[in-house]
Amino acid sequence: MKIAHDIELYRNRLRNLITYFADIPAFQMDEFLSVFALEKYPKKSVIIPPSSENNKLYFIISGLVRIYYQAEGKEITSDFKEENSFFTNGYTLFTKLPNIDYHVALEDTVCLAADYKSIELLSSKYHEIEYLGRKIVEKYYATFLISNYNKLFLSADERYDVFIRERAAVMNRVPLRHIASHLGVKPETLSRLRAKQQSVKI
Amino acid sequence: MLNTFHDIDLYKGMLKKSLLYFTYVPETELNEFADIFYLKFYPKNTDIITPDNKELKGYFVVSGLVRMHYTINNNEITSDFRDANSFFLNGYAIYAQQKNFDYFTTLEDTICLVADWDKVELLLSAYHSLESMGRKIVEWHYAESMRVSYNILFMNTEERFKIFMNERSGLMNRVPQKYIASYLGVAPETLSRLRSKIK
Repeated sequence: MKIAHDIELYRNRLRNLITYFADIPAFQMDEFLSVFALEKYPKKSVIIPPSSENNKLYFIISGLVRIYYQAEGKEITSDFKEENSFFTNGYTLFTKLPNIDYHVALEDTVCLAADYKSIELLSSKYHEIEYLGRKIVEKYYATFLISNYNKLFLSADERYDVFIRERAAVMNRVPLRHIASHLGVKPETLSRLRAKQQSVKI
Repeated sequence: MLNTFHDIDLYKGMLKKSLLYFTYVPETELNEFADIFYLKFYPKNTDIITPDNKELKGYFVVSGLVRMHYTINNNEITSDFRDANSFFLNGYAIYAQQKNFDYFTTLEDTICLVADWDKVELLLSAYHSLESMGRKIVEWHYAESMRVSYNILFMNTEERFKIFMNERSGLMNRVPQKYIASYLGVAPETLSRLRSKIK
């Protein structure tokens, strides 16, 4: 079934998210939003593969993206990105080194995407956009730091509790083996944690 | 160290040169930024930052050496080092507004230029060039953290040791071997073996 895509509606959703980060004058906001174009990815498609030269910033309108890498013959899920979040080939963008991870659509996914170069140009042109860029990078760095802390210091039970509290919506949309890998536990352990949660609720 | 003459202009010159590595900043704005930094001396074995640190500051190392470490399950892990011409800050407190769990401790008498973070934010808001510099600095911090994580995940011990020798060989004679071993995630005996092998 063909879906009609209302790009203006999508850009408004991006506008709403940006206002959470920074107060951008309307004319700058319009210029910023205009560099984003619609991109669609069917379920299971690879949006960003390893060693990618992809230099786009993506904003998810609908759908779900899984970020994972291969280590010792296993797939390790590092994150999930759902509606109203950004993703990018951050490793290559910031380190200039080849990325080793995959960004894959877990569902049919609709994004707004902009070349990072266009965003850099606008950042050079407008202080407020530069500030916006800094605040977005700071937020994603903070998420990375918190994720590191959780991996180091929280038990499996605690990591599960955090996940349920903060990412409950993702839980029902993602195969359990990916959630187990993301939490750093075996699928059997995840089942045990889920059962424990259910019995606590009863 | 306290009684030695300190050429603050020289130190601020070092700071400005290191900042220009990130992006171009016009001289007047760079000078205004450098002027919010003040001199601090930390004797050897001083904790500059401790867990749950609430002071939000940025640090530039003029001379000396700082070790970043944390304790988990009663094991002390060395996560990184900072020597002259490098920056450090409490990323958890400043970027994530969370309690930090790590220590920043001097391995030698250390001289830093220090800035209060609220003054940093004020200047970044005042000047576009400084805002750009601020963004590139946080991008650099993020990049370094990602690179360290990936090296731990994907490189074997020997590869990590070779990177260390390529990029930070100057530390080998300044840092107790047990801390370098911990940083590389190996036992001290393994580090000795790796050093002999390279020789």
